[in-house]
Amino acid sequence: MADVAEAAEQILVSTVEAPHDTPADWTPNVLAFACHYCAFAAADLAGVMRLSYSPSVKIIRLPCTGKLDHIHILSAFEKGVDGVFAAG
Amino acid sequence: MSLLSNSTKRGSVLIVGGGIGGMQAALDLADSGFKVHMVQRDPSIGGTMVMLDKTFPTGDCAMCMISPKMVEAGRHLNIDVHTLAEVISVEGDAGDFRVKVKVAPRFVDADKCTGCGDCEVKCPKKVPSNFDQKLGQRKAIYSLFPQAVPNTRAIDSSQCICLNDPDKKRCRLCEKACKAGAINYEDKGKEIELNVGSIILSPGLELYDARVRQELGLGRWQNVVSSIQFERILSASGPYKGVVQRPSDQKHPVKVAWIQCVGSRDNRNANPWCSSVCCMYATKQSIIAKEHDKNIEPTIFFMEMRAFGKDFDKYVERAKNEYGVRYQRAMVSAIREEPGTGNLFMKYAAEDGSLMTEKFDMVVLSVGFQPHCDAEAFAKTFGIETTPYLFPKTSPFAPVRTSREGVFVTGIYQGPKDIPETVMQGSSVAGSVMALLAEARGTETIEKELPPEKDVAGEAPRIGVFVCHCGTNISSTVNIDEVVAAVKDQPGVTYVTNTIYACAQDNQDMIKQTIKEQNLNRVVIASCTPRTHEKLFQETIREAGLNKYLFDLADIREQCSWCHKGQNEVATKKAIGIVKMSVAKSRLQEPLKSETVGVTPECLIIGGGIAGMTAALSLADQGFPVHIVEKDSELGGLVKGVYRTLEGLDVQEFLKDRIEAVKEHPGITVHTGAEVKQTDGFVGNFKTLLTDGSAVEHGAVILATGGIEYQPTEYLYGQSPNVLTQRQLEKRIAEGENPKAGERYIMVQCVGSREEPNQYCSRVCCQDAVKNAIAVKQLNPEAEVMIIYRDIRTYGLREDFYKQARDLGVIFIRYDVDRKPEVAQSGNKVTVRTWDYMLNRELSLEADWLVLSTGLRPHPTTDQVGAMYKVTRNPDGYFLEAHVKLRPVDFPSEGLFVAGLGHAPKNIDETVTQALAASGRAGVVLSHKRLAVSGIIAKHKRELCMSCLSCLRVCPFGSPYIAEDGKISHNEIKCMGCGICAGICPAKAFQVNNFRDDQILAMIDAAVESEPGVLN
Amino acid sequence: MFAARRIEYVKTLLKKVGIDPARLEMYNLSAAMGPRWAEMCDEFVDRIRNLGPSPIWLASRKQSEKGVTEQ
Repeated sequence: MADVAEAAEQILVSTVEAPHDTPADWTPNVLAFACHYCAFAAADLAGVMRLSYSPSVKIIRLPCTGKLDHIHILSAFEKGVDGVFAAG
Repeated sequence: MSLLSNSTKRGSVLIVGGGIGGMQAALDLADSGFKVHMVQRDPSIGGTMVMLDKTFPTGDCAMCMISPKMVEAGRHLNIDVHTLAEVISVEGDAGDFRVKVKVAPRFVDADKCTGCGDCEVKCPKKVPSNFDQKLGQRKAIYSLFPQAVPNTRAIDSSQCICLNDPDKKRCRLCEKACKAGAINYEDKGKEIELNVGSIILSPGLELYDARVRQELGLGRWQNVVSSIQFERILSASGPYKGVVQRPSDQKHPVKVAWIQCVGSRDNRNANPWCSSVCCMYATKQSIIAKEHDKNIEPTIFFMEMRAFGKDFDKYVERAKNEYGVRYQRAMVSAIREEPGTGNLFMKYAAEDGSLMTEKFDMVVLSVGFQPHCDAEAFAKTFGIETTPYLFPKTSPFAPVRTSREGVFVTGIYQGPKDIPETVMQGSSVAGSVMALLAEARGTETIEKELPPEKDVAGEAPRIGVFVCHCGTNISSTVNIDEVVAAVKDQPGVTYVTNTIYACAQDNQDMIKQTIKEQNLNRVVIASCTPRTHEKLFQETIREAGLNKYLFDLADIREQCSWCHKGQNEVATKKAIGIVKMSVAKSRLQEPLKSETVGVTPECLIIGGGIAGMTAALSLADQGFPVHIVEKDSELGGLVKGVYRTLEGLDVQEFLKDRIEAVKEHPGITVHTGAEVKQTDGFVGNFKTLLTDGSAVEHGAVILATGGIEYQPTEYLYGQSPNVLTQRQLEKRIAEGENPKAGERYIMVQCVGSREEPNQYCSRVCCQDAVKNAIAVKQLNPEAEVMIIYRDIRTYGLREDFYKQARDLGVIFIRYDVDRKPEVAQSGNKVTVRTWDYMLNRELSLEADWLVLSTGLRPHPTTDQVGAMYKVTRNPDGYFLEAHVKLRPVDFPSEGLFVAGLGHAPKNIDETVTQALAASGRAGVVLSHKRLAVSGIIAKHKRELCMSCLSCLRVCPFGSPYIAEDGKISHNEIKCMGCGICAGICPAKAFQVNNFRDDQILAMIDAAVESEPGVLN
Repeated sequence: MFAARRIEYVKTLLKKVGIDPARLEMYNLSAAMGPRWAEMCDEFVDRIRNLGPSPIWLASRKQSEKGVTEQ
């Protein structure tokens, strides 16, 4: 995926975050906002197909990603979530 | 017994057979004002589909899809399920039948039984399980399968120790184990009499017994299994718990072969017809097997790949390209076991005739269907005529009507078919019955009485959490006890327990009981996806007196156990997180009011072809006024160019009758030369403006926009006078231009089908070719016909005509898509060069007529109509139904239905079937005076609103509007609860019920808290 | 469509407060894209693993450790 490759590049040159050590007990905590009809259904399908993927992702179901609000994303980061994605 | 109305017709229906087709018919009828009696031979409803592991192409688990339907049918107030029952006599006429039913003794009192299963645990007698195809065992007291409906166990009298003791003194362990005192060894069964207006036969078929073909070794070599046995092997709740292993030594097989057409397309040893489904289920099984165990190397030995259904070819292509399934054209002659290893040597003739021997670890026989062994007596009981093959006699123009008026037939008993077609025909037979018994609608049904809703306002949350094992689907990966323990001390949670199958009827009862005992005011169930089970559980808590929106479903199966297999520790941690998030949301849930809306009991049908007219007649007979909008200046559609069916019936005559009936029906208004100009509204309340100026108010709409024929650009079409389409040839024959002696017709199949960019089968062309080939040969046996084909797809009972064509001397030559025939003009003939795979050389053939079997395309207006009604289409341009298996005529938005070629290519009988199905489904909507609207809608707070109009611009359903005071108001009836308005509103004046910002924020908090290491 | 725009905007906000905007992403996928969902989750989690814990997580961890030692 192009956007991931791009992002990877971004990470290398990123000056946004101060360098830090990663504690040994840390595991990524990722929240996904998923549209009920698209991404949530796709996640269902991934399960039905028994596709194995990272257990670090937890889903919050939305009726539609159009419902997604800034406040949801910001609040997630504020609480210490490591990453957020929306899928619809 | 006194009649409630003046009608002489009964408002009740008998359905014989409780498989998926029978259930669909039962639910449609019971939901639209008819009382249903369902008679089922087995101790549970469910039929064949419950034995299947998964269904293609979505890979949905069959049980997960059918279980909610079974539960719904089982607990429907207007459906009486009589299991272990058979009809012994039928008297009377359409509208008023008297039926005698014999109910075999169950030896367990359904009124006392709780379904706990203690009896089964204690029963000492183990017998091979027929449900598991004798690969597993069951007890003498048993339930057919864990999710059985009804869940009352039954004693197998032929196996029970007590019942086989003359004094009935031995054993009696189940009686001792049963705390409810439900065991009754003296049960004698009973005979009941039913009065019904109509009878629907949906007994299904039985599987061909492949032991007859001894050379294939079923029953002799342990590692040769039938396809239904393999289905049980794949099933997570099957005898091997979903592990693909060999019966002989439990080893994991690597090379697995499927042999197609076992018991089908075989005049000598078995049945002459094609069973229609085996090509696809073998493809599915090979894919699923590979998903279970990636080391498996599947090979499918087949004669013809009959992937004729919607998107089937794409699925087969996926099997080949993504899963590496090997498809081998061959005739398998024998299988021998290698002594000592259990491996199997298969002898087969490859296409070019060379004899091969190949070694496999396991062989699956793709067995076909045949009528039940007692089919003759069955038909006699109901007084219906049958074909020589013992299928009921029906006509392609009236596929669900039998020879006896008022007796209908549906499902695979009508002819081999797959699940979606069975479901479709279930609705179709329901539509037919609704039309027959229209005046008696509502005379025998009762209304559901729900307990009053408990007022929970102001109460502190008392949340009950039920964590489901789903058999082993969840519990083999997620530690249920740990989840239960972790949720126990969450604020608001007052009760936590686990359950084996939350969706099973006994557990539903347990949940209701617990709500009362623990005085719960919120419920969280941690099981599977809300997409399939939310509605069911909502109804359950409503029956216990809770508002149904005080419920949340935490998905720990699709989104946890199934995708983190083998990572038990992290999966358990994640499951705990998911449940805590649900609990956090649940804590903030409020009871919601569901509005109801009135229904305009009229229907708009777009398209005046066979589909549109058939649906219109059925709905008008049901008593609902219908408007047909036809773009052309006359009714008829694509079928105007068709003269005969494959069976030889006169299509033009049929069309003329239909058009006349439509024109004469007082309930039908026809708008020809008109299109939809503008439409607005929602289920029960649509308003549509037509280009002829009329405005129609209607409660439902059927999109029957039809299709067109592909206009070929290849094979010299339009350039050579010798090149025709099948339709043109058909017309010539109909107009009396008879074939001449010595004339050679060469037909080319799949013109414009089954290759990019139209990677789908047009379904009708093989039959068109065979039909015209037979006609040519019959009119002049001296004429020569050759059909150059990729796979001849004369599925089901159409196979007879393929045989007839061969018997008449029609020559069939196969080609591959990467070696297509080449055509050149040579004088007044054309030369066709094609590779012959049997002779292994190129043929050069001269033809007087080159006849192209052109495919079908959706009608060009499909696009526009689809956009207008906001329904989606698949990449090929056909309308996308709500669910490919279980909702084949519905759209995701309520009140919209699809029929005919706009949905997918299909034959006339299938078009009629789907049209009747659409009329049945629409009938369900239109028969309601009022419909309930979902409570999950956006709520608008006018005091916060600044009337910036953002919501007005973005709402896809047009629910916000400018009120008389010039400010924004919100029509909650139109709202679908998507929340786009809530996302865009700068003033936060919109909040979506049950997805409120405070609830989402609470879920985020819970997601973080459940993560150790994150401190807040 | 709305969500994508919103995500782009929030990315700029994150950057301002010292959180790498790569920690936020928008994906489009249809109901039939089960395999893509799985792939996408893995890709995104890998990305986050490379970025390490979020600065806020680290800060709150540090603070609470301090809290513990002070006690």
